[in-house]
Amino acid sequence: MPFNWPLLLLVIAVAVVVLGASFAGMYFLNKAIDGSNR
Amino acid sequence: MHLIPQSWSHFHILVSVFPSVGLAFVLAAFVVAMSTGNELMKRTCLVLFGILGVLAIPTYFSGDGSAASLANNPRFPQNMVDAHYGWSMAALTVLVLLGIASFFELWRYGKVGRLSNDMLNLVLGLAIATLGLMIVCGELGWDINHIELRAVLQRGANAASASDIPDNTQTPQAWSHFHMILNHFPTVGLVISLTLFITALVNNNEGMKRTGLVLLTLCAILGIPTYVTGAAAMWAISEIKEITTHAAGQDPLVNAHRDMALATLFGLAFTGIAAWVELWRYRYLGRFSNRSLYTVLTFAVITLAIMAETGHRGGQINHPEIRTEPVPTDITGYLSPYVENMINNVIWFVPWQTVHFFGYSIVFGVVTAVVLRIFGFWKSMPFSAVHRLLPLGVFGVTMNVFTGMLMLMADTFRYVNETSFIPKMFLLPIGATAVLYFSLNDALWATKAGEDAPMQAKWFAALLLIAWTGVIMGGRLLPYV
Repeated sequence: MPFNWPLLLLVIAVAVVVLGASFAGMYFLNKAIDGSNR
Repeated sequence: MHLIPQSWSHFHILVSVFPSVGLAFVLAAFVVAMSTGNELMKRTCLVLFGILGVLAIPTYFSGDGSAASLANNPRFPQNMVDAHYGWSMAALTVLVLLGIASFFELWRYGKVGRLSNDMLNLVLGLAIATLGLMIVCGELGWDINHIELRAVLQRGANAASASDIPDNTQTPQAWSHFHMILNHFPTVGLVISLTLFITALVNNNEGMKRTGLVLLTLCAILGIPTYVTGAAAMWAISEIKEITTHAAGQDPLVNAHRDMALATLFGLAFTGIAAWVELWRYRYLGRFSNRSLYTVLTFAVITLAIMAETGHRGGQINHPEIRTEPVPTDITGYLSPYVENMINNVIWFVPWQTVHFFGYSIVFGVVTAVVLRIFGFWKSMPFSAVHRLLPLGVFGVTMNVFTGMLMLMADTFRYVNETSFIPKMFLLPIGATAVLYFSLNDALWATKAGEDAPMQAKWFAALLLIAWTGVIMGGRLLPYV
């Protein structure tokens, strides 16, 4: 069975998107509340 | 959107869910109003109880009209109609008393300017009694039409089945039963939640806004088991000839409903997440952002419109007595079978499965951090520090719901008949709802560095841990037990 390059690349792309969305989401949400001091 | 009924039966189906399922939501809001002392919310709930009391009239007449028009239809056994009628009379009588008590108290409030605690407790008692009776008569009412619940599948030893269900294997009717009950909660619940939310926005009442946001989040969470039980119900009804003659996944009526349910799931996700994020932000900012609240409102209204169509299409599947248009025969052109076909390809399945694994890793990471703080292992931190992690957990849950749903669509029949799928689906909404507790509890929020968390929060933390551990274990064990 040949090595499935498209699948590997797709899974890497998915990992990048998930991590990117997690970090970006946390960055923006926390930025909005950082000045609250609560 | 087919909101105008064209027969007594159609009208009865639409109106009767409000004094039953709607009552549960109003009752929940009323309990919150009484425990928080929110006067506006108490009065709003009294108005809603009063309106539900008035709905007893169309509920009774539409039911009577349906019984008369369907009297000679063998699909509706007379003894079952009689049993439903008897319990309904009891339920509607108490409902009318609830309406009268609510309107009386509102009238009295107009005179003296304050609500009587005794009357509020009387209304609470009547509402609980009505709900109890409504559960009984609702169940008896559903039984009348839903023949699949009493169907015994007849099949020869090696006969080919009507669907592609392997011989001697059938999907339990408990799924269709649960779907039938559950689907009314996000739908009717959204109507009641929106009513409370809009009243809160108009009157600028913070407590009611919070309650509205919580109820909208709950509706979104309830959408998950509703979708899953719906997918399972499709297999459960696929061999009942009176309902469908198509193989599972090919009935045009079912596929039309499924396509709209898919859109509803997205709508609920947008509404629920937007509502919850605003509850989370409120903790830090101490006020709501009007822009965010109106965004939630927009999402909720759009979702309600999509949901009304979903409900209508769902009703068409198993209610031939309300159909006014010919049943479609063309089995092509529906989205859900296309998605099912696509997700079965490894190039789609594996990436989505990867997202699913990332999702529960994130959820479990956040759950562990929150639970460790509440149990007292990380006392050096205030609770507000781990509270900041919660959006990441909600993001993980969202990823899991959507990827899990896609994986479910790849092989629905196998998943829904796996032993560990039921506890997994039972624990998932519990785990998701427990997150709400951590963003709402004031005593927990006030837990500073070095302080012990309240005992009640520790029980909820244990529930959260057990729920998510069970969800992950249930998923891993799917093909093996």
